[in-house]
Amino acid sequence: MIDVLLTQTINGLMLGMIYVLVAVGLSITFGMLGIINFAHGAFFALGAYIGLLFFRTFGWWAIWLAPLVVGGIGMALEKVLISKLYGREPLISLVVTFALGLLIEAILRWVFGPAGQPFATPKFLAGVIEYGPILITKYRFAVLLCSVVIVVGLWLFLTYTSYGHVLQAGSKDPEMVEMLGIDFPLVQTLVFGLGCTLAAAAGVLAAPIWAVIPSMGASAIMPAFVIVAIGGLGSFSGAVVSGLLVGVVTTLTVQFKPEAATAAMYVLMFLVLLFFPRGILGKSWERVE
Amino acid sequence: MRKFIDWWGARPVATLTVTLVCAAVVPVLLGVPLTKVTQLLIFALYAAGVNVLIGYLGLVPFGASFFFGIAGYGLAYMILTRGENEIVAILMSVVMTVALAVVVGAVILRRKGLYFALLTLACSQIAFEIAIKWTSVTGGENGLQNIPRAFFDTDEAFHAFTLVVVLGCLMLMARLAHSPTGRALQAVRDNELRASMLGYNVFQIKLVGFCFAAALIGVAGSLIGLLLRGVYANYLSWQHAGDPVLMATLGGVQHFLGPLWGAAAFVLLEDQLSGLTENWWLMFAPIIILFAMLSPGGLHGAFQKLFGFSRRTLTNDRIPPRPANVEAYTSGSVGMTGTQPVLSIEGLSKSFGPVVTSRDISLDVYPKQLHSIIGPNGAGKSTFFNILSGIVLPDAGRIVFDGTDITRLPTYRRSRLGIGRSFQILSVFQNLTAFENVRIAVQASRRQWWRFWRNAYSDETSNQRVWAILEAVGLSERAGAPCSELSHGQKRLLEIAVTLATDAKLLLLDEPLAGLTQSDREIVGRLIKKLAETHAVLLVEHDIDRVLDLSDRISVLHQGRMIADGPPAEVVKSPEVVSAYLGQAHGRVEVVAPPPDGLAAPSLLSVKGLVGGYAGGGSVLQGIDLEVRQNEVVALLGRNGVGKTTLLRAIMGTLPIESGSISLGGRDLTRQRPSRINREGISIVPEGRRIFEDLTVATNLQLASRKGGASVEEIYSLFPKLQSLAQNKAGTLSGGERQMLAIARALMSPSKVILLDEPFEGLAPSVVADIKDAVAKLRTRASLVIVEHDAHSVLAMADRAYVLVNGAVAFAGTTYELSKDEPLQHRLLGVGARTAAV
Repeated sequence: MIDVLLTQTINGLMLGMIYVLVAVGLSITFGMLGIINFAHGAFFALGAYIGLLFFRTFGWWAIWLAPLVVGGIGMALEKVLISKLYGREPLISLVVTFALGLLIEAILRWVFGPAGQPFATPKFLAGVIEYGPILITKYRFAVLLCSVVIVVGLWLFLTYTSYGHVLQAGSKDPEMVEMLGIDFPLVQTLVFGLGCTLAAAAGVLAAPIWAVIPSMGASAIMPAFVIVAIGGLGSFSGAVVSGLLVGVVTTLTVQFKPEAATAAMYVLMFLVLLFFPRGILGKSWERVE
Repeated sequence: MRKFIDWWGARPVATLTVTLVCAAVVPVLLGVPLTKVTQLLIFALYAAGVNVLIGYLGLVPFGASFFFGIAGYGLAYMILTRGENEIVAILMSVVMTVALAVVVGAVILRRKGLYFALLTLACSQIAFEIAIKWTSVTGGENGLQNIPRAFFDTDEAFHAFTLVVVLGCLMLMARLAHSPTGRALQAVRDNELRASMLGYNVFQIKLVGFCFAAALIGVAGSLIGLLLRGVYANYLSWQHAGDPVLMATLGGVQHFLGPLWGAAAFVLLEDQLSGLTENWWLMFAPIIILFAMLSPGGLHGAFQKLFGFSRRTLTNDRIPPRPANVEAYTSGSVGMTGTQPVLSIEGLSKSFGPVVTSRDISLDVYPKQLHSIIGPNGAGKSTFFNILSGIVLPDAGRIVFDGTDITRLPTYRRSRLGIGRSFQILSVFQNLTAFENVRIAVQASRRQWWRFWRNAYSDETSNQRVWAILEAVGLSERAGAPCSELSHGQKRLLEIAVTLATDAKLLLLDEPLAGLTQSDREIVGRLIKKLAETHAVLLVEHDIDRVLDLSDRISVLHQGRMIADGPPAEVVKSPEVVSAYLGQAHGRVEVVAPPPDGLAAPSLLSVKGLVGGYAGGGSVLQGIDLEVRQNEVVALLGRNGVGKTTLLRAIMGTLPIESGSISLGGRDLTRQRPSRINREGISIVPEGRRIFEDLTVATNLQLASRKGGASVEEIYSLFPKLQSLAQNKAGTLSGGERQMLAIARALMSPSKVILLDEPFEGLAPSVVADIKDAVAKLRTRASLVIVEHDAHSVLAMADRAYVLVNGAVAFAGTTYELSKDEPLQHRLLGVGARTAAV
């Protein structure tokens, strides 16, 4: 029993880290831009599909270009569409990003077809790792490592580079940042691109484990919302903590009561929001309250 | 053509009936399959139900599908397990849905905006999971099939049945929209705080609206189950969660018939486009995006624009006709004698942490008097008013209103007792007509919002009262205009009208003249004076001249204490008042006379005819001309509320400019982005400092650094204290240290002009000396514009001064001139009036 628990907890952490990658992107986007991006899951799917494309054309090493390409697409979309949503009433941005998400899903379905695409784990990561009572596939372990590296790298970026400082300052007082001579719209474009890149990286990592289907974005965006709501909108550490929490809870529920697995995180979110109206680590965001 | 549309617009129910019948018949004639048209009707009801939440209540639910899906399962249970017929099954399913709505609503209606949307989405996804997984009850992925239709088996019969049901439901909805309940929903949507201050129980109102929406959606969900003869989980899925919201938005959420158009577009487009490709969202999504971005009024709004309309049509907005004889407005204060105070305040004290905002204030307010409260910056006037209206509770003291102790009474109870309050930041219902704004307040005082079956406009007594009030404030001509179309001055009048409508005996008016032009000030001022003949009026204002003119009695607050209380002539002469306004150093500052040619330096910053800076409507700045030359320090003075900070913000590009120009060194900077303005050479040390608290001192400085500005070493040698604090988080710094940081920050970029907004505010005198030194160091590098309300602290260090009064320049000259002209100082900066001989 204990070894099942331990193994599943590690698996849960891995799932959690993928969720964290998606949720942190969503949280940063919200913190800086003030809009909730319902299309965020679509970038997750785009990452998986473009990764697949690059894999087929160039081989394994190329898949890491996929998140960058998706980031570029995200920035283009921000310039053309998303930037026009800032400051408008929330209903419009909810509707537009929702429709955008469905549009991207439809494009994927049109280009790649509705059936799932096979995406095998690379040969050098096949097999399992045993460590005492814990049994985990090499690939999942690699995913866990990669995502930890990415999240830590992101944290270092935010805390120690000047770009990161601009982001931190901008999420609190964007007007003052402008008055210091920093071109905020450019910062906003880059931030949106960053969010999309993170979601796409999660998609690339998750592709061999989950089914690569056009609607895979839904299985990423819903947990992302739940995580961001639980952890607190705009909070980086909140997204990490609640992402891991949701990952572990979901995986353990799958082990012991599989039918309730997907519903479990919604119940968790409901309960948390009842007692912590702004999430566990969240702050007040009058823009969307 | 307009008249034709107008005629129909006046009769929404007739329009609804005709439109719905056409919608039920015309597509069939055009070849669309009958069942598709039935589906269209059902989705129209679905979207309309959701629009009760979006359009009327202002809440966006992304999981209304929760009710849609669950109602279907309820219907299936009734028919398959209990063998009921359609009609009973629909009724029972609606009852179940509404019961669920009460439970869910009680929990999630306390949240707004995004959290509300997310919680509804969570509900729908939980329901989806249950529906998919609990196969024994819900049939899982296959759903529950073969639901018989006992009465309406054929497609035609069911189509007719659906038409009747949908029409009935929408008529009910129209009825609700025009009832006192429906109108209360809209008031809550537009301004929840004001509605609750008028005495509405906002939570109850929202719950009623929520349940009504759930009922409509429940009917739709049952009907779709009957249409398909089966109930499935897919309507609950994530992909379909947004359908009704998209439909309502596409059709127009601000219009009663909007959801109908949206549903029609949705169903018909799906039918046509899926003939072309299975992937019909590929074409539908861009259409939705385009419409949402370009036409916020949706299809209905676009149609209106073609004919030159732009009204919202959630309700029939025609107001009841004006009666031939409008009764004169009678206030609730008839019967108050002039000798007893209507409001008695004893020993009122309030502190927020270490900051004492009110110290032992005692004061009496008499009826039929205009009693004004004035005081220099930071006197505690707003806190005082908030305590009187019940938004803040005092730490000590008593407030007695008309014999009742109201010290700890909640706001809405005070309103019911007869205390009315108007707000400094306009707090009216933006999307309702002027008539409706006042009527909703009258309705609140009559406590009848729960009557959902009658038309709100059929209450003649209320209507009479509304017209009487509108007449009293002078808005009868504009009664039918939506509030958003009124001028700022008219909105102020409306603000007062809404306050009057609550049968108030005592009117608390909070800066009623803020942001008004001179002529509007006269109009509103006259109204207030007239009201003082019948009510007790307590007024907070910064327009000292007008206050001195109009008031019967003035109380002066300074640093939380009351320092004077009496008729204007007396108050003006009190030495304490004079020194409160003009500063302790008044009369003892030595300003050096400028050398005769000393002010011929080239002009640097030039502001001409600047009008702008909306204060929630209205322009604070009324045509400012200002010039800053090289190597000079300019003081920008004036009492609070005159527009000093607004002017700085407009120069910095963070406030909209209506007309006029700003240029630096000949380059035009009007309406440029703040980042561009900063790069051209204007920096600001803003009010409140606005340093980034989570970042270190060093990082704060580094964020602002640019080539050409001071280096970090230079800054540390100028401000050694900052060097010792370099690695501390800025949030841990004291007030003086923050100020120093903000000033140092302005030097990190190459600035030609540095704007300083109240640099000495909130600092202890010893610290002020340090900061003055710091400011002096700035002047060697750039020209300075210093905003100060305490003139004497800057007169010695500035070369020239501008004094603002009510958004315009009242004095422009050297500080030497100003320091020598005492009467001028009194008039513009103190409490001296032309009437008082100083």
